Amino acid sequence: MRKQWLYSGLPVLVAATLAASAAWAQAVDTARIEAGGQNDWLTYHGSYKSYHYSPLSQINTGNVSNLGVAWIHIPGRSTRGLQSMPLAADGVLYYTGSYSRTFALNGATGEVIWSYFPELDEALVARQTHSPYNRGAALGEGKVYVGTMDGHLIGLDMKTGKVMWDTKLIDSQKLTVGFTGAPLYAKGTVVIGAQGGEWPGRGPIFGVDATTGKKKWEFLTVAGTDEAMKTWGNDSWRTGGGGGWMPGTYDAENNTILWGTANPAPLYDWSGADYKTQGARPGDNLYTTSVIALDIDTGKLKSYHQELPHDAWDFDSAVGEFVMLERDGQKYVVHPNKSGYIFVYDRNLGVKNVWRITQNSNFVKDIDPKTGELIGRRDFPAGKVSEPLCPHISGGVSWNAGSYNPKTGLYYKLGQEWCMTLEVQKTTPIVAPQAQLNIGADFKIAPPPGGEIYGHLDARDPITGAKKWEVRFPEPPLGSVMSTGGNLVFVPDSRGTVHAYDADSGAELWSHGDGTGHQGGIISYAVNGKQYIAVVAGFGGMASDDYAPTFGGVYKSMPRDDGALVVYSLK
Amino acid sequence: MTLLPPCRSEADEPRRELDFRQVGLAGMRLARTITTLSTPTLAVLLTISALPSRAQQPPPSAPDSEQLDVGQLFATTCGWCHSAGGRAAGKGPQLMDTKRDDDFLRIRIKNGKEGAMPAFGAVFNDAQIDEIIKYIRALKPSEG
Repeated sequence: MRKQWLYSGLPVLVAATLAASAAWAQAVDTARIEAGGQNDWLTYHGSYKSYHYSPLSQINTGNVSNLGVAWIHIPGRSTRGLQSMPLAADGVLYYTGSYSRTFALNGATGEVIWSYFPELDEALVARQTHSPYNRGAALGEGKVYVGTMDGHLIGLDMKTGKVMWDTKLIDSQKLTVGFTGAPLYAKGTVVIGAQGGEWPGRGPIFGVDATTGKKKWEFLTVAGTDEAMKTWGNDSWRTGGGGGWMPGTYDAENNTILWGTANPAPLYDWSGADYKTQGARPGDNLYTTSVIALDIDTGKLKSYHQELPHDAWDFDSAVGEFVMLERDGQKYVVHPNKSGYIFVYDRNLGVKNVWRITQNSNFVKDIDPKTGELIGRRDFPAGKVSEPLCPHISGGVSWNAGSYNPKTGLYYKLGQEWCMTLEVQKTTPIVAPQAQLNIGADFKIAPPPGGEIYGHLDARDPITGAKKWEVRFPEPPLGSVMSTGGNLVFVPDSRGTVHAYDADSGAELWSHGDGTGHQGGIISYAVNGKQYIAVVAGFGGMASDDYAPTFGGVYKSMPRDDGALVVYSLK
Repeated sequence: MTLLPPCRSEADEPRRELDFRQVGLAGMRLARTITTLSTPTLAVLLTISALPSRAQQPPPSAPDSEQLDVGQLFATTCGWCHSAGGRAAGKGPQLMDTKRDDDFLRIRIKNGKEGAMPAFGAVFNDAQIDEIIKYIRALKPSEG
């Protein structure tokens, strides 16, 4: 297939639209992202508050039944589906597909303004396991920023798609990993974290100068400080892991970025209960499976909380949501851990509460809501684990995001009910990338004890976890959730249906088939006074690849190399 | 008889036109540094850079003579998709009692399958791949 490297014939309509809006359209900068404008979706999580919420209310509970497809866009070569979060600014929609294909489209018509397909190291990509999907871009200072599987971060001119700079940040040939997550733009810096959890390497997070593309700083999530180095016995930091493969957020008041980190390797340790001194990686393994606050200018660690010390279950903290709330004069940050436990922090990452979204969970008995301490943790010796481990390795929550609606005060979040049988293996340390992964066990997906696998959308108080309503799905939905000022909650599910629910009651008001499963983002924006809802459809990847053998049915024929951006508006 | 070539070679790659648009970034980065070279040399360099060439990169270290512990390999790598050490279907097919012949397995291990299985041709040599096939052929249901 011939590649269209760059097409910048700006349609007249778009030019007119942009000219008309030029009076109020300013550059996308930190202040504008912080404010989270009405008509736009300027950063992965909507704004730095990470609400995944659109205040637009033209589409609402009264008229959502008239919602229909406005336009679609096919990015092509959607190997492992589409997993990205679209962005929208001043009437233009930006999004990425597999292989970091990047598009700027007229938000009203879908007409292509420009496209950019980076030339990747294809032989390297063929060797990678967690590849070639891309989870999104960032906007700021007139540029679109996108990471690649072969270790580059690229800054494109927002108007033309022209490459302004291209910086190689990691040696992907050596490490076999690269960037799949979206970058974060704030205060002149583009932040992006590498993949890492299953590979030897130290899981770097980078701060890059947005103007020049020059690296400003690098923070190592594996043994990145002297204190952390002491938490990896027997030099086990060499087996590595960590990384921060989803974008976190920016806290302007503290001049920090908040980021979640991935698990240590091997995923499953044979240490048994004496994990502080025995096994593959004796100690707590800082700063893996942690939330960290880094100074945005220097990358220096300011505070952290390790959600699961010595994570022995691959329930990492890489989920990028940091929901910034204020209640009764207190400021909070809500961060979901992959295990299904939701951590509530103050702005310095001090634990304020911990609650759980899953029904089936037994890797610990509980987590102390006051201190965050794990109670009754299950650390396995080598051999067959008698009672299935819950949740499954795909997590109690997905890496995709939930949504907080400031009008209802509710947090809408998907939970996943599934478990796994497990036999932990004692393996020799993997300190150089050889055969890609470092799991440390044989395992198989299993239903929860006495029940079936399912997923659920919960409407909860984000701080106490008190549940207002729940909607169940026969298979766990893996996509992101969005709520709106129209009192709606949208859930793109795994079978390929987008659902709209009443945000107060959970009553289903509308649904529409997108033709294939969802496992990426959903946003809303407005162009010339008209509201649109954009969702990516396209299935395939580490969690969704289990669906055909586990559930059969529609998943048996569901493509894992296809996808589309589907955009809805009122008919 | 081997029905498919034992591994993908550069000769199998479709010939690409020498066009900056297609060569893209990698080529352009290169081009910036070699503007003083003659046009034919430039053409050769750009052609090379446009090929997804394995030959450019030394394969990661895999000691040729080292015996591969395939059971461990499944516990570290293969088992994410080929569940229970290859005994059950997961993201990938069940390998125990597979009807596929040795050539098929060898080629699939080397080249992978786009979007489903990574290519391990740069990681394992032929003898090691034979060990993996031997392990697959010997798989029995686990006890208990």
